[in-house]
Formats: sequence, structure tokens, C-alpha cells
Amino acid sequence: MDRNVRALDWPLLATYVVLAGFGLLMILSASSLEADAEYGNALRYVTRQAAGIAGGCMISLGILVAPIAWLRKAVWPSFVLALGGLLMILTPLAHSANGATRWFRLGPVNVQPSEFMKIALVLAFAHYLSLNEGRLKDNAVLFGSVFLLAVPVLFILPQKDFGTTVILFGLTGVMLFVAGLAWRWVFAFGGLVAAALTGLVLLEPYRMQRLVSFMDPFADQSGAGYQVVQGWIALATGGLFGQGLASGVAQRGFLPEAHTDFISAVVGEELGAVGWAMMVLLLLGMVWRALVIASRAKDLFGMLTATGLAALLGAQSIINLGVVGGVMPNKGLVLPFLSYGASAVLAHTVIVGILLKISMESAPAEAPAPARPAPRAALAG
Amino acid sequence: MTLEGTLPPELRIEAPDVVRARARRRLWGVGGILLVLLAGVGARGVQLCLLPHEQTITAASTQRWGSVKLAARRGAIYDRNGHRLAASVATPNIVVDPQLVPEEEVDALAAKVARILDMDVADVAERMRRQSRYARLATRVHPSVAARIEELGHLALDVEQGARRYYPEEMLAAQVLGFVDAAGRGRAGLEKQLDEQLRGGSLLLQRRRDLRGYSIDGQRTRDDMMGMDVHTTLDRQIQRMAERALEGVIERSDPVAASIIVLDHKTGDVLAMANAPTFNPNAVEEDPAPRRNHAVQDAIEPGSVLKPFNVAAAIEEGLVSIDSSIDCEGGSYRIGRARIHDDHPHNVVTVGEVIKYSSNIGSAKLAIRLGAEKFTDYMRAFGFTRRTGLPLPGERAGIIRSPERIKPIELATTSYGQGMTATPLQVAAATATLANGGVRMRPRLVSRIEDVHGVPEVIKEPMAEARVISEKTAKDVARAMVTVTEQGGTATRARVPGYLVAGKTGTAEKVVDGKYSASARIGSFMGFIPADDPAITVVVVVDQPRKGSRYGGSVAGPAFAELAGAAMRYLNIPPDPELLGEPIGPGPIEPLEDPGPLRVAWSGSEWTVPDFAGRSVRDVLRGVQGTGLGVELKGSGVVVAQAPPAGARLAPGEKVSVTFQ
Repeated sequence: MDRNVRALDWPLLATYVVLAGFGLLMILSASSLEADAEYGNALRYVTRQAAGIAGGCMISLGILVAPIAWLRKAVWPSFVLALGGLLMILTPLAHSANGATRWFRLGPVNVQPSEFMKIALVLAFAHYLSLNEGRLKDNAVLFGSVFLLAVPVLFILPQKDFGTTVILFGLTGVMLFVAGLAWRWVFAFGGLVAAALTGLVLLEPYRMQRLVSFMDPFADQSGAGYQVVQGWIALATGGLFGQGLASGVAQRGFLPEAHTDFISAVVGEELGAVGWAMMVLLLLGMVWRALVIASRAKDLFGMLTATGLAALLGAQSIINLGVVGGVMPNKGLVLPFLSYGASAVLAHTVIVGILLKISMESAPAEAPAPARPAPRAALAG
Repeated sequence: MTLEGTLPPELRIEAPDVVRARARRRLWGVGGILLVLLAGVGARGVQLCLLPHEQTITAASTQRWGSVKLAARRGAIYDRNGHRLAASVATPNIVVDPQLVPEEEVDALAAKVARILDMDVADVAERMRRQSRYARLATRVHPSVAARIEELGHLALDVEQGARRYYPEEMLAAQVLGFVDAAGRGRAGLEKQLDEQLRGGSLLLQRRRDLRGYSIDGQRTRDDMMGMDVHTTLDRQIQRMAERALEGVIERSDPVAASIIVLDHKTGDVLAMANAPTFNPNAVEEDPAPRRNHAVQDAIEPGSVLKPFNVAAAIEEGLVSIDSSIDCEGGSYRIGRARIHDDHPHNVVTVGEVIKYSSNIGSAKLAIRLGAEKFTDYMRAFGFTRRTGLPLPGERAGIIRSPERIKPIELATTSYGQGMTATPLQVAAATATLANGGVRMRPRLVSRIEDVHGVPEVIKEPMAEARVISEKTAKDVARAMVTVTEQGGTATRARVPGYLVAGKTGTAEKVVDGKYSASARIGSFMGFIPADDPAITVVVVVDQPRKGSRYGGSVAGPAFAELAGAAMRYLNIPPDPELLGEPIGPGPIEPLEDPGPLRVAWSGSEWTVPDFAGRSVRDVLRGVQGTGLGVELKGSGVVVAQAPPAGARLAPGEKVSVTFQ
């Protein structure tokens, strides 16, 4: 145990603590006025976010304490549970916010099952592909993979949650690729995606317009481009050092989703380019540590899981920040750890827990000290 | 798990180390791309922060900023004791710029505003939807209502600071204070002359606003723009006495106009400046006549009130002494081809008696001996033909013919105030110079102008301008002026029981349409009291009495007596007990309704017994309350006698005996 604790990826844990704390601070700044005006409770969003973090930490602690085998045993139940959650959205328990129905009510809390589906999918693929380690040339494994992806996608389609769909496709691609997918398949899938996109655009030209409209938000400043323009105004107002915490104007009604999808714009306005860059560096650090954990993992399951989770965190961040930056169309994806969303922050905290567990598992096996005069071993002795 | 079994046996299974090495390569490949992309979108955000699009900046400024017009509160005007004579009471108008209220916000804002203004919500909403940039919601609302509107902080809402000026003393010193028009501009008096300082600044401020149009930064007023407060030298009580005295003048003489000026000759302070007819600056009417400040705006022929200055000049030049003899030629005297007359013919009299009998001939002879040059120099030194420079609009300078061109007959008439003009204020300032022992103090109406924090912007200290005549000359002339109010003088009606009054009457023929009118006169009286140690200098000018006597002694004298008597009581100047016994001049002095509180002066070890004469039992008891002095009351009614007399000093514990009747 002692050996494993020392192997724990402390930089990842530290990055997580800073990011989650920073997120709470920014949510308070971005939401307190609105929360106070609408609910009479300025701390409404912050407390909910904190509850999500607390829940995630408890689950993570469980993962860290339990044997890794239990995690693998939990893969299929969690996959089924996530799918069940997606089904809940089709029931009267469904909850809508901002024109999208992505939540269901569970007692006092609103659960966003898609956030859990992403993790469940990563675990499922890691488990499935590691079980079939070295057999990826078998078409049956490919068919199995397609099936594994198709089920959640089918569940998500009625929600019209294209952001999550894209993430699920991307994660599947990354994990198959890392697991050893033959290059011809890589190109085949790549070509298929390109062809599908081209076909959609050719069939319905308005999609093209929608696709490129994000590049010039001023073309429809009061309509489609409104949110992005408001985000840019916030960033421009922030300048180099920002207006100071809680001094932003964007969240005073100008910027929709200031405390959720567009929290980074609030960071920019209040803490400037410097604050924004620090935020991106923390996210980069998080993804980098996840990749380091993946490459140090002792087995394929660990590698694939860590890679998938790294890709999940990275892709979410890229898409979210890309939308704010106006280089990607709006997908409605949150920024990990920073955006408000109890389900999301719980899920992302669990991701950190799983990554930490994998880092513990990658600790070098106990060996006689003289045989391996490595510094780490010397210290351990 | 079961899928494992579907594996065709011909497929070779790759070795785990091969698979894992490849996975490691590939995961860094994919991960590298992710890190680069993430760094890329990160850099994009930095770019948007530091190098925003032109359009972003434009959108930010039009959307997030609104302007607020700040107008300052107009400063107040105070009397010398800090009583407010003019103040701005905020009676603001509430207006809205409909263009700044987003459509979706109209109903919510209208509801809030309607609740504050106690208006119909639909009505407010309708005004907020107008296709204009200006709609008035309410006028002259209570300041607290305006404050609540400002608290809302919506940039579309504006509180127009109504130029509602309030004069708490109503008509008091109306022509001095002036008034303010609907646009907030001072239009007369101090309000006009000191408009810039009183008004303060106004400016457009850029304020950040939120989406619904509310100001984020709040705070709509700024101290540095507040109008400044003006502290005058006026004394509310004395001004009131002067105006009451004018009321008496109007009743007795029904003049076209009249004015009274009270100066503190030691400082040059204008204690009162009253005019009739008058107006209420709280409700200014069309007719401009009552707004005229005759005291400074009328340059009139002063008449005989000029004689003492002529006599003073002759004495100061050593030509005569106050007791020198001068032949008044039996009342008729020829100068060149013209002839001048005295109303009361005399032959040889003293120089002092020239003042007492108001001899034109005596005065003319002195002026001719002085010579035109010296005469005009002295008149100028006394302040004639020079504006006093009080901050009042339209002040006249008056004229005296230049010494080079003046003919002897003109010099003669000028010496008794004909063929020259002066304002009542100039006469008052010249009289004050006599009262002040020959030193002319520059008249002062404003002592200081201070900002909202009480930091003075302008301080005007009393300023001695010049010594015009020696103290001895001044005393001599003053003594001669006392005889004017004594038995046989021209102004016995100006006497104040218990006090020596130095004065001089004047009755000038009024110039009407360029010619001397046969009937219209300007009666005046100037004087100071008590003559031996003057406290105040008073000038009363009555323009064209249309009822009763037309002589200065009769039309202006009683007003002086009434005002001076009240002022002496107010200023706590004890009467001379020896004088009290003397028979009182014609007509009883009407008691003032409010003689002011009775004051027992404390010297540090003793109390100075005040003049209880005419006081009620209650007044007396109030006066001694807290002094430790005992009072023995006899009889009831008003005080007719007291022992010890006023001015006596008593230690605490001693007793005053007061008899009422």
C-alpha cells in the first residue's frame, strides 16, 4: 500500500485541487448575482458544484481503496447504469434547461447521464479491448466495438446531443487506434467520416452555413453569433490582467451560460489573458499527466482507460474553449472542472480518481534493493 | 467476454509487449495532437483578450456603456449667522429615455417605477415604449422619490434636477438674493452675479450598464460638482427690521419706491438692504418693478444728505472749524447770474449749524472755498462716482460734473446734492465713513464662498480702503449731525429714546422726464447710532412720497427711528439712562412685534443688566434664566422701570428689581 501511495500521481491530484477550487471561485463570481436575483440565494450554484465535487471525491476514494479488479468488475454494471440513465430522460422525470433535455430528476438533484456515459464508454472499451488484447485484426472485435458504440449513440440521438455524440465517436476512435487498429481501418474510418460530413453538407447546404457561421459571429450578432460576441467582449474587456474577481460585466445578463459553458469568458474578463493562460496551462497539465499515467500503466486496460480519459478531458476542453474562441460551432459541452454542472464535475472528479488509481497500480513491483539500484527503490529501502 | 470465442483460430494473436509498445507510441501521438489543439485554443483566447477585433470593441462600447448626466445641487445663501436665505430643494423630474429600455425589460422596469412614483403601470410602460429619446414620467417629485429612482440605477431613467429654488424667509432681502429661472439660471441679485459659483458643474459620465440597462457602478452624484454656498453679511433680524420699517414708510407716504441700507461701518458689512416695493422670489411675477434693487440700481440726486461730507472736507482742509462762523446771507445768495435759497433763512451761523439747519448757502460757500478740484476729490474719496463692487448686478456709479468743466453755480448745487447722482448704497458707505472715524471700509455683502465640504473658495475679510478724514473731523461732523435730531433740527422724528442719533435729512427734487419735477421729491435720512460710539449706520431713501409730508425728516426719519430702536435692542446696546428722561420727539415709537430674545451679556465675571423696558414678565424671566441673577417682579404688564438701570453690572446672585405696569 505504501508503495502504491508513493506511486500516486501527486501532480495530477494537485492540478485537480487547484482547478476545482478555481472553478468554485469563478462560478461564485459568475453566478452569484443571477442566483441571488432568481433564487434569492447567491450561493446556489456554488453549493451545488461543491456537492458534485464532494460526491465525486467519495466515489474516487472508494475506487482508490478498492482493488483494481473491482473497477473492472464494475465496468459492465456502470455501462448499463449509464444507459439506464439515458433512458430516464425519455420518462416524465426528464428535466430541461436552456432548450435542451439532458437531465432527469433524482430526488433533489438533476442528473445529466451523458456525463457518466462518456466515462462508462471509456471503461467499457478499455475493458473489452484489453480482453481482446492482440486480436484487433479480428473483424469480430471490430463488430463488437461498433456495437459498443452504437448502443449509447442510439440512446443519445433522441436528445439531439451532438456534442456528446461527437465525443463518443472520438473516444471510440482514439481507443481503437491506441489498442492497435490497423492503419487501413484508420484511413477507412477517417474517409467515412469525411464522406459523411461532405454528404450532409451537399444534401443540405444550410448546414455548411451553420458550420462556417461560427467563424464570423458578427454576421449575426444578435442571433446565432450573440453568445460568442458577448464572450469576445468579455475577453476584450479583460485585457492583460482583467477587471478583477467579481468585477465582470458579462455575467450581468449579457453573456448567456456565463457560469456554465462560457465560464472561460468570465475568467478572461476578470483575470485577463494572464488568468486565461493559467487556466489553459492547468488543463494542459491535467491532460499531460493523464497521458503520462497511460504510458506508465502496466497493462493495456490501464493504458486504454487513462488514454481514453485523457482524450475525454482534452477533447471537452478543446471543444469548449474552441467554441468560446469562435473556432468551433457551439456544441454545448462544459469545460471540465470549471463550468458549473454538478453531474459533470462529479464525473470529472471520478475521472481523476480512476486516473490516480491507475497511477498507483503502475508502481514498480517490489524487488530486492541490491538488484535494482534505482533511486526510487533506494529511497523505498 | 463471450465475444472472445468468436475469434477465428487462423488469426495470430499479437504479443502483449508488441501491443503495449505500439499503444504507448500511438497514445502519445493522439495525446500530442490533443495537447497541441488545446494549446491552440488557449492561444486563441489570449489573442482575443489582447488583440480584440475592432467590431468587438465597438459592440462593447455601444452595449455596455451608457451615459448619465450629472447636474449639481445649487449652493445655498446664508446670512451672517448661518440662517439659510436661499436653498435648493430638490423637486426633481423623472424622465426616461425609451431607447435605453430593452423591450423585454419594459414591463419589469415599468412595474418598479410605477410603484415608486405611485403611477399606473400601463401608463409608465406606454411612455417607456415611445419612439423618442425622452419621455417625462413625473414632475416635481419628492427628493426621496427621486432617490429611490436613482437607487434603481437604470440608465434609461434620469432624474432631472428641477431648478426649484426655495427662499425660506419668503420676501426677505428679495432684491439682494434675486431669483432663479426655470432653467436654473440666476436672474437677479446674488443669484445672478454669483451664478457660476452657486450653480456648480454638470457633466456627462460614462457608466457601465448591465443587459437590462441598470448602471453597474451606481453613485450618480459627485461632490466636486456641487454648487458652492454663499455666506452673506446680511443679518436676518436686522433685515427684517428694515423691511418692517419700510412697511411703515409705505403706509405713511405711499412712495413709488423706498430702500433702507444698514451697514456695520467698522467692517463695511451690509447688515440689511431692503427695498420696497418687493416681491416673493418663491413665486416671481411678471412685473419687473418690484425686483429692482433701488439701493444699488438707482442713481438719484441725494440732496442735502451730501452736506456733511462737504463740511467734513472743508474742515479737513483746514479752511474752517466746526465752530467757525459762516454768513448764510438771510436765505438768498447770488452766484453768477443764478440765485440759491435756503428753506430756513439764517444769517451768521456756525459751520456745524449749516448741517443742523441744512443751509444750502452755507454749504455752497464752503464748496466754493474748497474749489472744484478738492471738492470732487473728497466726494470721490467718500465713494461717490465709484461703484462699491458688491456682487449685485446693475450697480450704478452715479455722476458728479468734472472739476474742469463745472461752473460755480453747479459746484454750489452739487455741494448740497443737486445736479449730481449717487446710489443709496454710496450714501450709506459715505455715512459709514463718518461713523467709523473717517476711515472708509470697503462695503462687503459676501464674506465667504465655500464648497460643499465647507472649504472656503473665496474669503473676503473686512478691508479698510482709505482714511478720508481725520478722526477729529469725523467727530466734529458727527456732533453737528447729532443736532439735526435735536430740538430745532430737521429730523426730530428720527430720534430714538435713550440714544444719541447723528443724522442728516435730504429732500431732493426728483428729475422726471429730464426736468426737475415741481412736486415729486426724494426724501432721505442718513445717520448712525449711538452717535458717540456708533454701532450701525442706516440710510433710508424714500422715492416720491405720494401721501403726507414730502420732507426727508418726516418721510424717512420715523423709519430710521423705528429700525434703529429695534436694532439697538437686538444688538443689546444699552440706552443712555440720562437720555431716557428727556422728552421724546413727536409720535410714540411703535413697539415691534418681535423684539427678539432678551440677552443678558456676560463679561466673564459679571452680568450686564439689559434694558427690560417694554418687556413682558415672560420675556424678563426668560432673559435671566440660567444667569444666576435674581429678579424681583412688581406689578404686571410691561416693564416701566428697573433698578439697577440697563448697563449696570451685577455678579451672579445679585438681584434686579423690575416694575411692570
